[in-house]
Amino acid sequence: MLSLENQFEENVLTTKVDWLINWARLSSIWPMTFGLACCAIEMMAVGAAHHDLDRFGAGAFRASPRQADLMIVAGTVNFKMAERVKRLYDQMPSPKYVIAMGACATGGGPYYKYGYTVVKGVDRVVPVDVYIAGCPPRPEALLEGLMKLQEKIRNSSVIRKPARTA
Amino acid sequence: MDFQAIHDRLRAVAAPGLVGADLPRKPDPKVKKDKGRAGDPFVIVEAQRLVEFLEVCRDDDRLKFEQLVDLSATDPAKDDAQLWINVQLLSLKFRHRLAIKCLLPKAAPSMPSTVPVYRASQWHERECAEMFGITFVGHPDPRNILLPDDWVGSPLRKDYEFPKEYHGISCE
Amino acid sequence: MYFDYLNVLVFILVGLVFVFANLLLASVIRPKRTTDEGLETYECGEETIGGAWVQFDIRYYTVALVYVVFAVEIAFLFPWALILKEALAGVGAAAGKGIGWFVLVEGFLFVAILLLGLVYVWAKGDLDWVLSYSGQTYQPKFPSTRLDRVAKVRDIESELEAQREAAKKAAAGTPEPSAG
Repeated sequence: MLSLENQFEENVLTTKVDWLINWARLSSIWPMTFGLACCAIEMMAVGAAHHDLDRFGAGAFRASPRQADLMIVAGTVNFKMAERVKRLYDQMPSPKYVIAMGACATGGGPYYKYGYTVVKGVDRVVPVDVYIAGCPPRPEALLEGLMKLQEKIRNSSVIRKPARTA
Repeated sequence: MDFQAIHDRLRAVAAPGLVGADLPRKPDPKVKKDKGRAGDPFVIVEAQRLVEFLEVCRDDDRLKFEQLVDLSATDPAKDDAQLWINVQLLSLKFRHRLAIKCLLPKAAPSMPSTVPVYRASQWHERECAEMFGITFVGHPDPRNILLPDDWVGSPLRKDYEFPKEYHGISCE
Repeated sequence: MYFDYLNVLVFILVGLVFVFANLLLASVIRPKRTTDEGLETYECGEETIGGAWVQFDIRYYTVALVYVVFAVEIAFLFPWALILKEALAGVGAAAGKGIGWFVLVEGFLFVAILLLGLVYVWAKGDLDWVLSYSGQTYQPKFPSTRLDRVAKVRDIESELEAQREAAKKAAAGTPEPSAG
């Protein structure tokens, strides 16, 4: 199947097309429900009425990884769970993003020193795009994290060749 | 029945394995043994005869401890050569409680399983087995309950060494 | 006349294009990063146990079969109602032919025959969702904690009450012999 990904030089036409594609992607990020611990409560609060997640287009939480773009790892990841996290991440279709929400997912959290079954940060298991600090982070913090992710998507190049860094 | 009465009754029916008792007292801060205690009373029972002791507790007409509330273990200190097993019983009929402690040597922590007496101890014993390395002889389902199946070591022992990595994920 | 069929063709084509153009566009734009682990069957993060082609329950089939019969019955009742209305009102194709009573009785007869079928299926037990269990009942490995010996709450209360009465009588009884 032909793929247009990263095929074209950067010009005014491809920039506009990329803008459109990125706008479509960032306005409809569907998260996968991955609340593991207390941060899940804050994630539920974000999905609820007051801090509405649906106004970002991200209100459709999908239970199945096959239909989700975003995995919000909200809570402590154990070694037992880490296997499942990795498998579910693999089963998500590209393009996929990961937000590590809360102290436990970012770096082990309060279990950093003596937690023998806690993975010290979910980035030891899956690649993370955005880290959100807090224990648990306020719902507004999760919204800011989501907006940072939207910023990242807005600047990504889909059909253009990726920008040279040097 | 208060603790004294229960203890008297246990001695009267010659409950097997009864070794001694720690009567209710105020903990003395100067005594090292009392560190961390609240002065609650408990009965000390031989670990290998705990099953018969619990049967007596459950079946005796004046004691009637129908419910096992808790079965846990304690590792008091790194240099202490013994593990404690703590059992809490509750009588729904007479509304009294009993705390039982048993000693197990750390070198060979093995005792008969109390599952035939109280089925509630099934999961409690699984947890003690994986966390302290205690073997409960005759347990119907001796798998790990909280830890992954291939975990090495007994985490709640005082001399536990953290693993360096598990399934490729670093534990540092 | 054939122009109407062209309508249908365009309708079908637009429907197909609507779906497949979107799928094509998405497939062309998205990144191609399939992995072997990603193509495995989903089972909530665990490794899959057993296949997905399981045997369905036969009850679904029987209920669907009975449903189909009665749905077709309803489909037949609609034109019957129209004809009956026309026959009674005296307008349209069935007017003035004097078949009003015949139509009515015919309709009721039709429903009655199918009702008989429903009663048969019902009485035979084909509509019961929960079937009676004819296997072994669960036998626990260990006897339960002698539930026959756990006293009921009412017994406890009455026993405690009796104890209190006895204690009161004993306390009230002791002064009496010294007085008497």
